[in-house]
Amino acid sequence: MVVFIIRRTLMMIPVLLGATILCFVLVDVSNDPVQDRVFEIEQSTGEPVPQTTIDALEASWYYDRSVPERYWIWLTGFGDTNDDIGLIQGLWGPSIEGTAMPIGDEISSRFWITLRLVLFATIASIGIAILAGVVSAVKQYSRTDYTLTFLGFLFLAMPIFWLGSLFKEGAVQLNKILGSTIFQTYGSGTTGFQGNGWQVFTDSLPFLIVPTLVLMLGGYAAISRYQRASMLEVMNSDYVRLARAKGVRNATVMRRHALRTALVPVATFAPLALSGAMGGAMVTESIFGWRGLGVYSLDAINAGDTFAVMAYVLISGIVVLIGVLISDILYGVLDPRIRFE
Amino acid sequence: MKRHHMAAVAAFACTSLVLAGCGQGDASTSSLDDCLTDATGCNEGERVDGGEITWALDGSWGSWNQNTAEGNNAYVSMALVGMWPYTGQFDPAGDFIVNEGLFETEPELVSEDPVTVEYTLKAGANWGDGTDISVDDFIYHWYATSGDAALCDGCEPANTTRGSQVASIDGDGSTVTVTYKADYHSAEWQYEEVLSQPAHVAEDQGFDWKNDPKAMAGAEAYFSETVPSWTTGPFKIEQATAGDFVIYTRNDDWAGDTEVTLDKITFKVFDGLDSIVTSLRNGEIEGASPFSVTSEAITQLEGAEGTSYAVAGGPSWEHIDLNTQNEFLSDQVLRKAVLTAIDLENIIERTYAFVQSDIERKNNHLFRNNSEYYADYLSATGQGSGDIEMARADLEAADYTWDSDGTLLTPDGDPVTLDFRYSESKDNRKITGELTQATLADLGIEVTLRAIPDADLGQVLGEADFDMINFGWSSDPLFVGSASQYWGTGSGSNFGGLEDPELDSLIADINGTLDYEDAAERANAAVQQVINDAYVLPIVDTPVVVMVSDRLVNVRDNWASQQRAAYNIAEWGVTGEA
Amino acid sequence: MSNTAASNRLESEALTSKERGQWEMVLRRFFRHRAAVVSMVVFVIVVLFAYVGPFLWTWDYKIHSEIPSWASPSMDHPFGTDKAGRDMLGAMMQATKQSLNVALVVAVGSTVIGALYGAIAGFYRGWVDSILMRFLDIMFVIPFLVITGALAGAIDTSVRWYHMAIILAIFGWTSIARAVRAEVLSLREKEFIEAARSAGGSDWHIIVKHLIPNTMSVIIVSATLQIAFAILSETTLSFLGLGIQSPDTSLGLLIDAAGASAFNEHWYLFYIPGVMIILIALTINFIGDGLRDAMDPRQAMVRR
Repeated sequence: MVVFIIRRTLMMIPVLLGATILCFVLVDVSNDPVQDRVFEIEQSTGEPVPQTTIDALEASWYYDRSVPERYWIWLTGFGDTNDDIGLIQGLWGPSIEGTAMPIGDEISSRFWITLRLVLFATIASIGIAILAGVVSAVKQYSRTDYTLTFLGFLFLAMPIFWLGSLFKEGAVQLNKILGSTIFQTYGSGTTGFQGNGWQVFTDSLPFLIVPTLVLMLGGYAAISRYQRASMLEVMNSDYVRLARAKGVRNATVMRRHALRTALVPVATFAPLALSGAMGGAMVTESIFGWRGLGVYSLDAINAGDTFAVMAYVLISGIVVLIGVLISDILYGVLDPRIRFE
Repeated sequence: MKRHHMAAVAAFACTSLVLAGCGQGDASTSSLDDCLTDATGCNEGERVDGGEITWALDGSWGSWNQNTAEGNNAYVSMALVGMWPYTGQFDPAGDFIVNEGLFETEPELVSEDPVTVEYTLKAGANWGDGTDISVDDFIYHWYATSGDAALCDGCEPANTTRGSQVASIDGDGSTVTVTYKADYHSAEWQYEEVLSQPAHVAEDQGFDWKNDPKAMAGAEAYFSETVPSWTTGPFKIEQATAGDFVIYTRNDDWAGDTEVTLDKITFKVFDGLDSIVTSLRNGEIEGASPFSVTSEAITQLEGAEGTSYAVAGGPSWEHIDLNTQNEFLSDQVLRKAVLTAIDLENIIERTYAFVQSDIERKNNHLFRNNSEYYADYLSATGQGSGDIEMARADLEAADYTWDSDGTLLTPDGDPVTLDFRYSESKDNRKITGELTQATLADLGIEVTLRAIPDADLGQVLGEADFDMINFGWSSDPLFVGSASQYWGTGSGSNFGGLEDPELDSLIADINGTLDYEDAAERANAAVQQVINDAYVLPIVDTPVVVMVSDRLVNVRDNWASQQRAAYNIAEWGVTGEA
Repeated sequence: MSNTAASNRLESEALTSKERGQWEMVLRRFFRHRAAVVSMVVFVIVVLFAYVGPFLWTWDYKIHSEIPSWASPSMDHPFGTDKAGRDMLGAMMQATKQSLNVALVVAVGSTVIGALYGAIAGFYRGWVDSILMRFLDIMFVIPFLVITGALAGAIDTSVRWYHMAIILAIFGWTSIARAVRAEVLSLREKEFIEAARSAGGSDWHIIVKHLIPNTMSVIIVSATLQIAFAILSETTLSFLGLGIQSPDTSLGLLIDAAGASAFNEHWYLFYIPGVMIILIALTINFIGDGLRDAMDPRQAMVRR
């Protein structure tokens, strides 16, 4: 299994390289952040920007080189640089936002913010999905089954930003009715809050509830359909029928035989769902003002901040690939029929 | 210029102890609604000691050093308003108020040739860390903005208009004398920024900035990355993250006279106007003065309890520019006809009037409608009137014709087609484009609307990839440099490529006097000429909103300051009532 | 049909007659799926609304000076009017049409790309397959919203519906390719493929005439679900400010323009396009579900 993991990890490298090249070309060719910044300054100062400054900006953002050169220098940092670029040296390159927001620092602090949001939402959505899936399967073709199925379809059909906007406003109205501020609608915690892990967590609770709910509802439907199908399959399998025929009580059959097996697919699906949700968090983050990775990538795209986009592509790529890897490993561990080559 | 009084004293008297008998003569608390009639005294009220508030910013920043191209950003300038060493602030009435924490008196012109300005520092003006402000700090700012590699090698100053003109700076105790080069004649000498970063901090960090141009650049880079722990303002930064938030506490070492009452101010970045409004309604923030406003936001604010808002012309102005290098628009006759056909009243009614009901059309490129130098040369020309008949008559007189479908043909017989460009997220500019398209169709000109991705406006302008374009310029009270930047032949910001030698000489004149009123008159002459050229059609001063919780007093919007409502942050406070 | 060997012709004739029977069964099963049938009816109504509606309704989607701003829904303007003076019923018809245009182009485009890609990978196997699958991995790793948003942002003029459709199709075909490849891998060992090959059919002929028709059930279901995917992606990108732009319009753009109207007197600007999106995505998902049940009863999730 160790060999399997090492081999799979090595295989990630060409995939990530390919993805970054493709993204770099697509994002970079269409941008000219230097010209844009110069215009912004002129607009705000009402006076011309000196040519030396324009040249210096170009040089410090590496816009004095061609696209392939810029990619190469981003990847390796070899050649004439300001010692702030070169992925293999652990440097992310300059952000056009400015030196007070280095890409590396932003990525690492935002990673945990996004992870916190996504982790709670995914756990909650898997919990609900299992419940809904099992109930649906056990009461197949009942009114409950139809209702749950319809709800699942409904949430699947809802644009998540629409749902998010609704819930956000709903929280404000609820606060008004209760005359308090139970729900915070913006940010991931009190601004500048400092404390130990537990304090940070309790501080973040009022901020966490609504976005988690939104992300959860957006994600649960697909898993619950999955769970229902796998539960049905198990319930119709020979060994469950045998257990029933032996006279084992229905609840016991469900718990000890059917559910346990039926959870395997969902368990293996969980890491995929988690890594997928990290990508989908962009919308939730931007509605609720979480300074997470998704919003960072969005801002970077809008600003034409190529190196920042690349950092996001790389991180999210790694997360997705690790999700797939864990999922495969879990599949092998949980299902004894599968063996690693 | 007699309008510049030492407002520190007035502000002190008005806001703290003796409210009665001051300002508008009414002791009762006024509200934001009064800002129309009383620009500098509205929303005034009695403050209690203490209070913690959060103020929302609608944009972020990635550098702490406002000298540099990276750090030249309206949002960092708002976020640092509590500590930055400004020379002073224009108040909403357009009067200049010298920074009471830095200077004893207004700067004084001691010689006209060369221009020499004397600054008198206030006793005890300091950096909040036990070090007094000194002549070195003036010199540091000069070096940083000089654009001269012999003074700073590798600096990226956003602007060198003043820095490159300094000849020398000398200090004698609390008096600092700045001598300019012979070319320097700006009538705005008294408003120049002269300080930015603490020179002693640079030295403490090991930068020998005075003697080594490379070290100077190193110091500038250091200040870009470093959260300022020093302060010259009424507040001191306690904690901050670039692009996210700044938390201030009171600065007890401040040399200003205004009594500061707030204990803590948090500036927090919000993404989008809707989020700001929602958070204000939800009680998460106490106020904001964002740079955009929508009618949806106004509707929301209308129904919000415990908050007030006011909408007024903000720090930028909207205008439609024509590309004078375009094959059709290179003809002044056609340019004038196009601008005449555009119906500004109709455009304003369907766009900006939704957020500001009393909005007026802007008729002067450099001076706002309520400025004492304002003069309307535009209305008489018919530009912006929507008078199709007049436009047609002018075109006919210049041998333009129309074919059977009503398409306008040039004297050479070519059909006239134009495009109209606007930033995609600016709804009002889009509608302006749609309405322009509709009216020009009546003139027989087919107009194609082409949106610009938000990040590409600078690129589109720089490459002059437009026939007609709607965008905004800053409209601060300073005007001396504006004309040459907007309309001077070859200027980097003369995007429509206007080349008018007569205008160029008028522009050069503006810079030839040290008298402010004289300069304003000369600027108006340039405005008249650019109207003749039918180059730029002003629409309105872009409306902006200030929204505040009713707990806050002495908070009001200020179009004339880059820091907007935060211009008088020392006077902010909370009422005892709530 | 080319004039290859007789056995080949015989084979395919047998195949078509079998297919006909199969499609009949599929239809019958589909009509037993009540939710799917109801959805089908609703979806057809939505399509008629978008494509036929504009011919029947007084107002188009443009600004007219005689239309008042911000009129609440009434007989004159059943869906109200917006700030600039636009009849929202007319605007909804146009927006739904443009969104459906995007969805249909994406469904067809991504299905064609995906099916061919998957079939080629599965058919050739070996190094062709590995290269194609590695490229698929790359596409899988690239964050969808980031790359589509960046491309939409790169278009230096107004983003029209066809720009969006092409961008979404280019990056939306990967799931279909995977599904088709899996089917083809099992199919390629079947006798009738062997027969076609021994009869001298070219690779292209086998892929297009034999493999792809036999993966039709997978393809049809995927293509259907692709419509819902395209509608939701398009709206999300519009919300993020990276989607279709005026003068073109779309459902996402309408919601975006409605901004925070959800809870004030202009609520209709926010809810009507939102409900339309949900309606389309919901009916499409049910139709897809019904088709899946009908074509592949083993995977049935909801029956009847």
